[in-house]
Amino acid sequence: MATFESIDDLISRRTPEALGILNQGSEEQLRLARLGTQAGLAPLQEVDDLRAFEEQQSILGQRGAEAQEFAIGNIPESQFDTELRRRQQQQLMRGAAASGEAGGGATLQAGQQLAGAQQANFIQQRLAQLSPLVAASRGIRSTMSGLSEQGRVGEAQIQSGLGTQLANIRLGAAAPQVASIQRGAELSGLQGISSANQQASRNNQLASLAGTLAGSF
Amino acid sequence: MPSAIGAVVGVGVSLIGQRNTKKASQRAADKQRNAAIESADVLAKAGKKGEADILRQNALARHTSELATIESAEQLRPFADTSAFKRATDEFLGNLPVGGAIADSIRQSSIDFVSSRPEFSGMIGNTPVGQEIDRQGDLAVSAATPQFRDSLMQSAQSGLAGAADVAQIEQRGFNRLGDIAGSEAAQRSSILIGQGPQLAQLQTGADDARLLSSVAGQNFRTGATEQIAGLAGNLTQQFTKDEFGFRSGQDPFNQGNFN
Repeated sequence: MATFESIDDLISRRTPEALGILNQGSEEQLRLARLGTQAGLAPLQEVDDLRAFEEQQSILGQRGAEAQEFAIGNIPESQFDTELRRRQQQQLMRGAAASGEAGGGATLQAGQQLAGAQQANFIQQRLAQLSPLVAASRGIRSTMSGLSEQGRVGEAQIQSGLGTQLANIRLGAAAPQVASIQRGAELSGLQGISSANQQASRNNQLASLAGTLAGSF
Repeated sequence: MPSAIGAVVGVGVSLIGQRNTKKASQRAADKQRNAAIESADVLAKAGKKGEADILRQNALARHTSELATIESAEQLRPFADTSAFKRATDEFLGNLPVGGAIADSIRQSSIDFVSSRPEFSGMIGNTPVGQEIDRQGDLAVSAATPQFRDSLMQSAQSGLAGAADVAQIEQRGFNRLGDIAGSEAAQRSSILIGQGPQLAQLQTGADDARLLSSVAGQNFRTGATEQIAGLAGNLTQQFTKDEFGFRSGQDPFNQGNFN
């Protein structure tokens, strides 16, 4: 067990210990807070995927002309869609042939409108497919954003709070030191006064004796 | 005459004793004063270190709070895009057909239908029919335009919501920095106030010391006056002759002088 020579000694040795404990506690608190934030973010980071969002933005022209052209040119088309597109056009042409208008202007207009609408629907379908994915990505990012912010705010509160705690320890340690200094001065002064009083008392006795002797002569 | 000398010596000895008491009291007062100065110094050092702790920790808190804003906003930054809204507004107000690669691909599909049919493939070119084919392609683009405007508008709304979220994050960030500044000031002043009771105690100690010194001085003056008064009385008594012409203690007819 540690022994201390004085209150000053105790305080000078215990204050750094107390400050160290506080700092360590705060570090641990920060470590756990960061672990908590990371634990919250980790599963979300695994599914954090902005590809759908980027493709959506590219198709809509928000990433430039080149990206838009590339995105539209690379929309995957299923065999079913390809077949459906072909059959719809074939059906139009067969109907026109049946009525003897295979090479007519009405067939030309109808065919062009059909092909244009098919391509527009094809792009719209892709945008519709991307839409829920984009919403999910947005939701994931929103949650991650909230977790990040809350985590850091918590850390900032720990850091700010530690300042006050450290300062209180320092001030708290100063109080007994001050009391010790005051008490020391008081005791020393009282000793001096007491000693002087004793001497004065002796002098008074001597004076009294001198007076008595003077009276006797 | 020797009796007078004895009385004076007695008073002198007594005065020395009182002076010593006064000096001891003054020394005690000095010690208390020095102790108060030393204590104030200890408090000031503790206060300075405490204030440094507060400043350092709040600087860290400010940095972390800024990270909170940066990291949080960074997650949503891709979704915070107001350019789609500006574009959608221009397209809605101008009632323009969708452009870019979307329009090109729709137009091309429309033309591809013609070129892929042997019945029409010869019509493409700078002929009235060829021009009609191009016009039909543009019409296909115009027909699809409302759908794509809606898509662009949805994206624009999402971008606006993201921008609003980021703006709120940044606003909260500034609010937090303000809170930290306020909290820091409160913490610093609290440390100063925390020193208050102890400084007040020192003040009381200093007052006590002054009082002690003052009382000692008063006692000394009173004691000295009393002693001198006593001496004067004693001497007067010793040198005053009685009704028979004898000094005090020398009357041979006074029985008391021989007991």
